[in-house]
Amino acid sequence: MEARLRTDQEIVQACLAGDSEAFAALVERYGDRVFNLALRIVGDRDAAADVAQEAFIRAYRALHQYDPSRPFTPWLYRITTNAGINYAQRWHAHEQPVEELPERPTSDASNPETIAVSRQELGTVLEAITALPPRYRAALTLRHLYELSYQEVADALGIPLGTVKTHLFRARAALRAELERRGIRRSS
Amino acid sequence: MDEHDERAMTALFQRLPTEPAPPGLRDVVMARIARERVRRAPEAIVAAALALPSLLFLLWELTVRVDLGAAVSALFDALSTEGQTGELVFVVDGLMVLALAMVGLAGVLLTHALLADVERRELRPVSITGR
Repeated sequence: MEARLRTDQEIVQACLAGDSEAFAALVERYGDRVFNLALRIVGDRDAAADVAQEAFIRAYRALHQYDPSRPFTPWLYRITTNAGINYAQRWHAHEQPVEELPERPTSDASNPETIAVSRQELGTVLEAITALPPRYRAALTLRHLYELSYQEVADALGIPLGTVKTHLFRARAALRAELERRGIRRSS
Repeated sequence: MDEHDERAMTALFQRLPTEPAPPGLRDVVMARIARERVRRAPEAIVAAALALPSLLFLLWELTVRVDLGAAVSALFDALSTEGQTGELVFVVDGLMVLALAMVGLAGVLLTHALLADVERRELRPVSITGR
């Protein structure tokens, strides 16, 4: 069967049955997403390539632990997130720990406003995201770039649902504060 | 309020540029997987070839040839009587010594394989971005 037409679960079954080459289809299918998730977490292209590579190798080694009754991507994102956070913690040990971040930004961030940024300012947004702790970056990326549900984000990060909500609330607040610090204002 | 906040954040993230994965990612991952399979197999096969016949032999020795109960009681008898004169003689079958040695060697090989596996896991990934 053409690899592109097989489901993730079928490919995993093939790998577990000894056809390790079938795993290439999963790398092709999710390479971009894994790489971009890694890129958001570690904030560096070379490091993201290393993390993506490591994530796929770890996923291959752990295929027997994957539950085929559940979607494949949150499981893969979880491995990628762990690899990315490990990498970031190893190479950026000086970063501010999660607990020290403000629960709310300095100004009121709860107003129903949008974040207006020009194309040129997107680079600044990326820098602001990179300034957040890796776990916040991962939660924001999974929720707002890949649009996972809260439960899927919880599965991907391996933390309880309630903690995810708290993490995301604080992460959004911290990002807004960071954006304001860099001169990007919200508009109504 | 929160919903609007979420939508605004999602809209912002959706505007961020995404990048394609490095072109060599698939090949590097598959090459590493192939290398791991090749490295791991011979060590496990040699360890099994050494250990299995020896373990079977030891099992056979203990269950069929040796009366373990009699051997233990003889040992205690010897200890209680010979201990007074300081002479205690053991006779061990040469094949049993060989079997134990082979099990030990298999254990060393297996330990090496496991340690090498941990080492491989900690190795830096292969560069695919041309650093």
